[in-house]
Amino acid sequence: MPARLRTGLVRSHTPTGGRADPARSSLNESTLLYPDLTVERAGLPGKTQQVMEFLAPGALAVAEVAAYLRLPLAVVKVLAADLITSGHIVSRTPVPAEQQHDCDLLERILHGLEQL
Amino acid sequence: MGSSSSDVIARVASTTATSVKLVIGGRFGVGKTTFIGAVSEITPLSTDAVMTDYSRGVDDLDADSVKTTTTVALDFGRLTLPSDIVLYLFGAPGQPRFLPLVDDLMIGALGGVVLADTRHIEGAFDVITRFENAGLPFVVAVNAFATAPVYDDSELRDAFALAPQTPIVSCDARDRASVKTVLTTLVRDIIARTIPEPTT
Ligand SMILES: Nc1nc2c(ncn2[C@@H]2O[C@H](COP(=O)(O)OP(=O)(O)O)[C@@H](O)[C@H]2O)c(=O)[nH]1
Ligand SMILES: [Mg+2]
Repeated sequence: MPARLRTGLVRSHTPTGGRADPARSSLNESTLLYPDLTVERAGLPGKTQQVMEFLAPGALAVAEVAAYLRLPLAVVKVLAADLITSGHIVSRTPVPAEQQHDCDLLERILHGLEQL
Repeated sequence: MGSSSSDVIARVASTTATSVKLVIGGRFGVGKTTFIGAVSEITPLSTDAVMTDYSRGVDDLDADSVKTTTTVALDFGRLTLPSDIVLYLFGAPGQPRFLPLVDDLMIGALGGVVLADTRHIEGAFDVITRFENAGLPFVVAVNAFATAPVYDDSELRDAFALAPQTPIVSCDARDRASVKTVLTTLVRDIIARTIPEPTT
């Protein structure tokens, strides 16, 4: 027999609808960064060079680069944006807003979880 | 950082992978890091996010706008699915003053999990409100602490003022299978919300 919830606390309910702003979602913590090793990276400025060398063995997400290099997330976002602009990095953004209702993709996530 | 450390770092192997961001919220100590660690293929990592506060509270009388920056550690883990998906699970800091960071973390996220502890149900209110206001689909996972009272789901649902379709599930954040069930519940719910909606 479950206990009675006696706290009397009830969350006030203030829905406003809407979605997180998709315009700002192009480069976030989970964006995957793929190095393009065919682009010359000698001469890249300091920290961009460091990020690029770190990524050379293979792709990682923005947050992973930040954690391993002990750089703040915001710094890695700026460096990654520079490297994307210069063609050294190709990025893949986590499920873009327009795909968040893509049933095929959602089914792939579900089936992937079930297969674990 | 020496290159030797990067040699042991597990890279994202697929060049076609889609990453998916999930946000795990709840009060400090509710089990967010435990939850992430239970399914993560990497030891959960921590990275610094910077939050800018424009005021320090009502009793700060000597300035109309005091700007301070606070560095907040974000925990996260990674889970590669056999279907070419890489899930990233981010723990949202639980202290109310860090709530603005939760808003940042929701950007680009597919869904959320609110971990709740029945000894402090009010600890989940703020993050539920944040998720709702952003329109982020989420599930409430009631974490099973030994000394925590057990309530009917319907009572908890009322206390949390959950929308009727929002799932509420029990969970043991230390248990991989239990965490997996929470995640599949979330994805099933997102699918269920998607099917009846027109694709505009
Ligand atoms: N009994 C029990 N203890 C848990 C559970 N989840 C987490 N804990 C413990 O609660 C404490 C806080 O967990 P942590 O993951 O650090 O919380 P966070 O602050 O939300 O990241 C740790 O000592 C965990 O071992 C759970 O499901 N059951
Ligand atoms: Mg934690």
